[in-house]
Amino acid sequence: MSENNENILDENTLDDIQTDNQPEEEFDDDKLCSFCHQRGRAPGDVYCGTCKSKLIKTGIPFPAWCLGIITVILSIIAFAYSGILAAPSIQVLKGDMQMFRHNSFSAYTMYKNVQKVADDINTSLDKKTVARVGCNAKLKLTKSIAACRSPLDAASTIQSEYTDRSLDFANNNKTLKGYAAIFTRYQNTYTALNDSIQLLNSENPDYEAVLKSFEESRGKKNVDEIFLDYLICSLAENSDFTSKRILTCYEALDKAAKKSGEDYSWLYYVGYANALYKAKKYDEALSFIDDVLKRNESSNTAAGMKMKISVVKGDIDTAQAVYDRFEKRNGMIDATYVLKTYLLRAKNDSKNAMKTAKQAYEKYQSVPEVYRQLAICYLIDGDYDNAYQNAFLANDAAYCLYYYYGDSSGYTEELSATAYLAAKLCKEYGKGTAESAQYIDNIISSYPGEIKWEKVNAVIDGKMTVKQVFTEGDCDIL
Amino acid sequence: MRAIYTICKYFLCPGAYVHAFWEQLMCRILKLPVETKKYFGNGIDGGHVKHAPAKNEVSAFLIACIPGFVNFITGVWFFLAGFMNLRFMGITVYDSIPIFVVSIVLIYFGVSFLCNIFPLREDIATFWTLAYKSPFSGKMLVLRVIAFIPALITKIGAFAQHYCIPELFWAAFIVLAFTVLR
Repeated sequence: MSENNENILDENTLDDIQTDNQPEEEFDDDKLCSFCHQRGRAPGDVYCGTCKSKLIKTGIPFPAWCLGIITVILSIIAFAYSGILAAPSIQVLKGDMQMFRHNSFSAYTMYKNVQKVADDINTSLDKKTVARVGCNAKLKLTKSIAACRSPLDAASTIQSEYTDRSLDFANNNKTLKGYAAIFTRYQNTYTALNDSIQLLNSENPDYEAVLKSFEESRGKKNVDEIFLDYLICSLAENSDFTSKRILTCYEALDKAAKKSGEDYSWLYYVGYANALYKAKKYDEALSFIDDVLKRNESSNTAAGMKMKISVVKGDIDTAQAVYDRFEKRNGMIDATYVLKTYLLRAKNDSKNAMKTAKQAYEKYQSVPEVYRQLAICYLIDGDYDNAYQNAFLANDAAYCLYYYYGDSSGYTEELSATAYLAAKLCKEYGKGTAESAQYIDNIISSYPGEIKWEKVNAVIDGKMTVKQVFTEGDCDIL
Repeated sequence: MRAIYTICKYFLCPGAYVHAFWEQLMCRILKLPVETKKYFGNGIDGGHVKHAPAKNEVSAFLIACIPGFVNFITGVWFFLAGFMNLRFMGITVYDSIPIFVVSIVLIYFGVSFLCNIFPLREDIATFWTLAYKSPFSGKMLVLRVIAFIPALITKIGAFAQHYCIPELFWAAFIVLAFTVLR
């Protein structure tokens, strides 16, 4: 564009320059055609008539045509590609926003969906890798797992998420190397204690002998003190030890962890709080839970435990406040529905609990706890066939979670107990077919040894009703 | 400043070249004389063509805004495709070298186009003078009202472009997106 267009415009358009009827040779320089500088300007213009008609037809260079057309074509392709990538990218963005707000559990649920959305897109387009989830997106998923569960869980996902070349990424990434190092320490300890653990897995383990063998391993090569204490705590929890003794194990672990100077709260705080809760030391348990919630407000385990302790103490208002805070922070995600169902049961509102559990079931069909809550609602309702069906689906969802994501968190003792109770009651009072009865028999017989769940035994023996178990006390099966 | 501006234009030449193409195409459509076929060099600002000023509001608005708008709607998809792949899908060289390289190229082209969406200050000034500074006649009232916001944005953008602010903005955005805000 010519310089001083504005001035030219003012001269020609606004100031109404008169150039008509003047012979060419008499023009001043500034009234000559600005292109040829020979002829006079056409009326209201900066060019003479000849130059103007010539300049209007100035050809567009051939490369420019080519580039323009190629740009448009490529832009249409890029538009389509952006459309394909939009859905998984939005999931990642949502996850990032949750992570930014320290809602690691919500972030985890968002990141977990990215691979699923990408797979759906690839399947619908019948292409293998149009939408590919890269190492950095997997890193975000792993970090969120570390934040909302533990670095050990995060490290175990490294093996399933990072394969082939991306394993090099995992080996070079500082954060992932950190998780892997923790996992290696844990695994080394576990391997060093293998003989003792074999004893533990036998049919009728002698817990005292195993504990002694664990203690004898202390100080040996590859045995990490913290993880040894942690395994002792796990052993104690699964044994017939008294709650006081379990608590002593946790106290030892707490002492060792604090002595190490590193932050191991992710490893045992929830378990410690649970041990304190079982020992009826509710206030101490709450202080540990509050500490977990302070670090990670989106921890559904901690929120659930705080609600449970509040319910046991008869403080429904605090339970409601914990739930409200969790919902406000995380929105209506699967864990929110689970906590809401629990709260409604605690308020003895079985009807709305069932309604909420069904809503959760419609939205989240791959979450074991969602199925378990629905199974509990059916148990309260006396519909044992549906209760058994949902308990079975919960077990199935836990298996899928483990199989596809290497996530074993779905297998909980609560789930086992609920599934057992549902199967027992369905067998006793259900309307199932002979075929399903046989199947249920097989499931019941798969539970080894004597059933140690007090409330389950109480219901089977007729000492408690299902409704009492799930709407009174701590409102849960264990 | 002039040297930095020229360096930016040459560095982001694909977008500048295509912007100049759309500008010349608009000139052909609007029958505005164009003095040169060159899009760079010889005192011509990169990414623009030397053309005569428009005579009316419609032409002035179209010549100032349409080439940049076309550059925007083509460039934004290049940028988004590459950006989503690298920033959100987290593609690295460990995943796929071709996808990684293509994504970087897409981001480069996208930024190149998005840095060349504003006209020269003189072009938007022509429209501004015709539409908002000349005596009000009631003619083209609707255009003047509708075009006010886009013209204002274009005017600010043209000013910013003169000082290479879009280039600085995009450089900062990319650095932040892939470091602090990762």
